[in-house]
Amino acid sequence: MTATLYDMTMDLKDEYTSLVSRVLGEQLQVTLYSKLSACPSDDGVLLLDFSVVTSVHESFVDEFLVPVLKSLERGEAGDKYIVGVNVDQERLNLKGIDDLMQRNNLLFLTFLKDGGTLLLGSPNRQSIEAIEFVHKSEKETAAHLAVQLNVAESEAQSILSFLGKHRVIRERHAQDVGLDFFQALLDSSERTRLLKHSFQEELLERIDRQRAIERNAHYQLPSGYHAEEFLHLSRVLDDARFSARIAVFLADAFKNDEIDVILTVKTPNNLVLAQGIGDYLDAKVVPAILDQVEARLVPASNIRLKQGDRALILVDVIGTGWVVNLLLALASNGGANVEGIAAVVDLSEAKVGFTLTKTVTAASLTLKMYSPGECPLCAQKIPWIPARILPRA
Amino acid sequence: METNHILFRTLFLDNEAIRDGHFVFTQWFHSRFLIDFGRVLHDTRSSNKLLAKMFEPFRGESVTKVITPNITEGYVLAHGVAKKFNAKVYRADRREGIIYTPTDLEISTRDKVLLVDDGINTGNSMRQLLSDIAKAGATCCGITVCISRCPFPLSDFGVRVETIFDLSTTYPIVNTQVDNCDQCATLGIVAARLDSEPLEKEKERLMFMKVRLKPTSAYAEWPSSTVD
Repeated sequence: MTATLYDMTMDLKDEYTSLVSRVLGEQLQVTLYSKLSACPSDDGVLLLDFSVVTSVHESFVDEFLVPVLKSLERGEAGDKYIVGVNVDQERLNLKGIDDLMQRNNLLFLTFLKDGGTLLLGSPNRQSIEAIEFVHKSEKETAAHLAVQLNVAESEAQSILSFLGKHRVIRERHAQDVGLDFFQALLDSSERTRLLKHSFQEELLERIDRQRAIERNAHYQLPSGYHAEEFLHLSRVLDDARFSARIAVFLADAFKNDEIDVILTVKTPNNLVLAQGIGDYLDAKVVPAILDQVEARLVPASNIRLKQGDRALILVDVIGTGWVVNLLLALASNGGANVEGIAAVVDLSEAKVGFTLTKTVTAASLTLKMYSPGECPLCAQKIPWIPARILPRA
Repeated sequence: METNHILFRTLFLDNEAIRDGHFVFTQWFHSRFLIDFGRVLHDTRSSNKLLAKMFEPFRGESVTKVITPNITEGYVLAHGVAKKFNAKVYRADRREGIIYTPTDLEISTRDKVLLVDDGINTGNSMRQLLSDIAKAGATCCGITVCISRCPFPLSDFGVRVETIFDLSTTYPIVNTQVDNCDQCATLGIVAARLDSEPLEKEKERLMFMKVRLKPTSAYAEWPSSTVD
């Protein structure tokens, strides 16, 4: 069983996370066919990753998904399957897509983000069970199916005739491969591992590839700690689409928290991520700068926090938690309630516990950092450079 | 033009982004008005409205790199535009007043570069970047900005320049080598900060604001991450 994960938003040119087909449908089809042909035949399945997709329009399904599924049915791309994963039901125009798939007599199996399955274009909700049954049984008679699904025989007959038209049933039934790969996909823990693994691994791989970690440095961080290794995350965020994916990844964890404002520091990285998250959560951005007199943060551009605002604190990197603590102080001064903390990379090895609030990080790393008295570089009398990480007023 | 007018009112006037006072951009360029883009991008919805208009004129181009001379608001807009092109974003570094093209920027002769910023004031930073791009041998598709207040004609840049709002007559920047600055005569020079407490209109008129094209040392090296 080989499953290939493909995030098609990476190849969409125009609107990034919203799937609207315009002239790009054809181009995307070519990419998708090349992905399909890269899958090994017999047991290849392509997982379309919908994790960062914010909405799917009917036009996209009509011009893109339907032709691809039709050619799959005709067997033009070999013995392959396409399955949608990480689908958020609220973000689909469900009725329109369902109608469209039914009109074209097609089925599209999707796995939802919160577990469970959704068969688009199915005549009824029992179709998944029907598929499993037909795959397992030697005899796919209506009578058997009626017993299995506990429905009338006439209804079972109609389900069977519907499913019989589809390749997903017709060629696979009662063969040795059977439903194994679908069942593997249905196992949500396995699916979570696969997807989570892929995003974190991609982030860490990009950090490595862009040489974002500076080794053999000697910085003094504002918290007083000394760093031998320093993470320049901006080298990863240079890729606009990847930074948008990070923003959606972080925002997704807070989508039910009704965030009003995003509190962050006015640095380029944080502003870009805050815009992406704010766009997704429909929240406002409050960038903060360092006060000239005291070591405290104040909102930039005279923006005021409102009493009782539900705030999300965003930093690109959590090192010792110094900046997060400043932002927490800013929130409490302004009367905002902190609902969560989001960070791209956590360097603290979970030593900094913000136990009261929900903390979401995309990846964790371990870098060489020393507390003030214990720096071996200072012992060797190597001069340090102050790391300027905060903008001043 | 009519829709642009309404958009300008909702984005800039309603957000109080136009600051009244006396602002000095470089030694010779003064203005009574400053446009604080931070207040516009405070509302994330407004950036989407602007981005669509900034992207539209260059839709057909195959842009590979997007460069911005601004490290805050311009950088956010550059990211939004680059997302639509699937391009990489680089921000120019400033050290001791001179704009450097980014250190890790590898522009090759095959690259098509688009310059993005929130606004063109005097156009100095854009000119520097344009000459750097020309030195590297890359093609520059053009410049796309929200606001132009440039006292010079935009054709002087030698590339295609697209702006959403041309405010060079409504909120002008005065070249004091050519014209007299009214504010200099009536107001004198009082230092104030952009992010200071909001002042009453009359007091605000007495503000003098130096826009640092030559940054202080704190701005010289921009943080590449907030490792604390």
